[in-house]
Amino acid sequence: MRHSDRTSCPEYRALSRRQFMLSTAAASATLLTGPSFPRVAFADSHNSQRDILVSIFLRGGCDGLSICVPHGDDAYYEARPALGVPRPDSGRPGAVTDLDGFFGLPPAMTPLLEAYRAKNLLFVQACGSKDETRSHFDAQFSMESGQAHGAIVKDGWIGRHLMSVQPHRKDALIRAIGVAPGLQQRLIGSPGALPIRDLADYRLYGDPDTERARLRILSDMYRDTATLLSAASVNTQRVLKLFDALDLQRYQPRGQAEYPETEFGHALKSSAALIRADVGVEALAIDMDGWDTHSDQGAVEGQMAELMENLAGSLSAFHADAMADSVTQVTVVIMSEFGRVVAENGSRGTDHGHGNVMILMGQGIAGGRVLHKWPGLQRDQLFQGQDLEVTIDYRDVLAEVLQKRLDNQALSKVFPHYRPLIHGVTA
Amino acid sequence: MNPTHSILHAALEIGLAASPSLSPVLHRLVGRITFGGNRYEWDLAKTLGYDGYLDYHLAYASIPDDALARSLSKLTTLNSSPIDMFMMMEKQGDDRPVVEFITATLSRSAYSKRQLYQRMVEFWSDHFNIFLGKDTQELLKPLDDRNVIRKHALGRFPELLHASARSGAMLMYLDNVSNHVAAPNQNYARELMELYTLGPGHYTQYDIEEVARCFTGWNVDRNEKSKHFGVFRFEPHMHDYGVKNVLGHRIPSGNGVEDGERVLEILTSDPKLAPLTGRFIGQKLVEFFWGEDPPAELVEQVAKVYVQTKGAIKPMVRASLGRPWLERARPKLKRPYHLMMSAIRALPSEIEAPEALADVLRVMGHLPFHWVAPDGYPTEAAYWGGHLLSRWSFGAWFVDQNSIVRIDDALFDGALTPQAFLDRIDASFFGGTLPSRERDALNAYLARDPKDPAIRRETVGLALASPAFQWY
Repeated sequence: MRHSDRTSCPEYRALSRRQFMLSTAAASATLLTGPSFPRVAFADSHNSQRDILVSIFLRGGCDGLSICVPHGDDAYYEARPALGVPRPDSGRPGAVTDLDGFFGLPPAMTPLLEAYRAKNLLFVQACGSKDETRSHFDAQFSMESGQAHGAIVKDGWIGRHLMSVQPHRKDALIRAIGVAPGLQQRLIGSPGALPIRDLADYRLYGDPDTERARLRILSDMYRDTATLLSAASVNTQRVLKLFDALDLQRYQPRGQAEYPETEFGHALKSSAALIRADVGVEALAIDMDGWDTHSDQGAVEGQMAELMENLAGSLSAFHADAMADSVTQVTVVIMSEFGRVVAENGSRGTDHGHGNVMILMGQGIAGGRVLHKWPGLQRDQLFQGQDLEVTIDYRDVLAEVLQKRLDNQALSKVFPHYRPLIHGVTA
Repeated sequence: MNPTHSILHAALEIGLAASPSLSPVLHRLVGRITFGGNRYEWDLAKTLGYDGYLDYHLAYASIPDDALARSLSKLTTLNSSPIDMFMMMEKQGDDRPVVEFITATLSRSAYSKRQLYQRMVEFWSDHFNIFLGKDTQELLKPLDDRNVIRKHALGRFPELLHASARSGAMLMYLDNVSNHVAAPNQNYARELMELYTLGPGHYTQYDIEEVARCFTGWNVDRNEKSKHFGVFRFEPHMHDYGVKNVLGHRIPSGNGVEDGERVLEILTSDPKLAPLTGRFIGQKLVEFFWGEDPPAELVEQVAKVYVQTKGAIKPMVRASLGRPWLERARPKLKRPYHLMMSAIRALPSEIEAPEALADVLRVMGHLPFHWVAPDGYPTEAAYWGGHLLSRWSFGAWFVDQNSIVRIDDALFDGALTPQAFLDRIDASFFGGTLPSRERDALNAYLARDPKDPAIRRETVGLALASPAFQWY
């Protein structure tokens, strides 16, 4: 049992124990019929007009006040006597590294300073959903679907995005991958999406020595059976060949990038490999668990610090690897279902809150700054008297990324009944 | 218990002799009302004939189910109250209640002799879908499973609906616990009409608002110290006591919990609305048993049965499975859960590690009680057909030496000649209907080394991955 399992709330434990995203629609994966087999050489010449989207969801409700610390707001330290990350000039161990005179990074996040200074990394503070729910389930569902809680939607915001733009490559076998055992809610509705738990190990179960022979038999059995399964069979065989040729297991990252030996690090490394292979995948969705820190949160030393080290270490390696040149264009979008209550609780943890931080990374991101309309942390400035207010809607950020970086000109199809504001998150 | 049935059972248990040659329609009937045919069911169908076999399964309470009861008796938390489960899971960190709940679900589908009843449990579990990951559903859904779904699966629809409306799990799942006179929550009201009774298009937004008002105060005891934790409780102070107008019916002021009950009555029994509810449920039942795009005439027949019998489920099921109709039905694609159950049921087997089965179902996107939205797992073949690799891998995994379902090893030893081995696969998994093209392909694989037990296992794995095993 991981540390965080003991400190998270029952609903979150139920969700992560059952890994809630799996439930949905492993099988909505209707693969595209590709007219030809795509090239699989690792390309250095991506002639893209669009970025590849890497969507990362921090499940559990991450504490954005520990990730991008408002050290310039005295109320932060009043609310967090035990959990507050020390001021930059405090001379205390674990002090914040200042970013802009008001916000700063705790030590565990500093691996990202390089990307920040390269202006590839942007924090959007006091951001999130105006939905008032404090249920993980409701909040994750509404954010991933991109609609208000209670609205009747079945698909996800990435799914609707992919439905509303032409495939980036006509010969793409897969347009989106959920790096998960089942397709996550945000990918539901995608044409040509597939859940793959481990990109480096996508194959037919069983003895590797007989795999090819068994696939030949399956191919024979399914050929021209005049059912929808024969088309699926052809596509499955193609995707298997594609991944076999890519051999992601032996991928060598560029720029001496070293990914942490964690599931999340592994997922980002495989994603970088897949992106560089340039096979037409337009979106990847990755999840990171464990952010429901109700007790013993420990932002400088402890579980929150470990989570941030994993996050920042993996992202920094991905930055060095996949964004090493201006050829491969990638935008990474990181979000969580809600932030946490401003005041720490009696167990040195924090409870479910409201406003939070979003993180964007990419060559096309207007980075090197913290974007915010800071509402303040004094009690009378808080949402329902206890939480960071949401002053920037998460859909504004997503919509701008989709429009400016992913060439989506049909935002009303992605976020119906919502008119996004442009805040300038892209360069 | 009907003595004739139990004697018949004893005779069938012993007499697994020759494989019967079933007519295609009888073979299909077995497929549709079970989680997978096997020698036992095929023999039974052969003995009883079409109507006899269907009646036998409809009279499910008379079917002895001792072996299942014995294996379920090992699950000590199966009948625990929500408060007891709460104490175990939250206070002692013991996950047993939820693991045993899933285990029981799998075991019942796989091994119960009351197969049609179990299929109806599957049907209603989708119809009244509840996601186990939300809030405290792990504590509440097991109660809903016992007292709503299983209690009424082949009973009467109005009673089933009433039970569901008062289910703690449902009230939490669709947020009726926060449906307050000062801030009505329409979630349950909307789904009640759209998903559970009338179907879309037969009510307005105004109706939703009025129905939501009727259900204000329908709540759950959430006091962790109460022994009624998780049980229905009406909260008078949350209720809207004003006059409501629901689908043309005036509901007078001053009543409490009766308002919601009146709505349920209107939706299931009103002379204008009952035919709509009957048609909506009938359509779903016919799709479940007959297949996609069913003949409108068949649906109308089932809808009429609903009206005539005031929502008795058994006659609706019987009408959905009328022989002339089933003769014209097309094959249905097994959903992943069905695929797994049919593999388990084909051979004498024992589930050793149900948690591992749950993991595989999760990967295949079809773990019970894990569909997030209230509409339940999809039924369309187009939805499930794409993710073929997981079906292929399932076959290989199922026969793996280290698998977590122990199956009769006799199938894999070298004693049978290759042709006898293929005959045995055909008889066990396909009831003698394995198409020659698939048989030839399996034969070609077996020829790599016909005596090698590993090759034999892989051949069975390929049989489970074959097109013929995906349909029923």
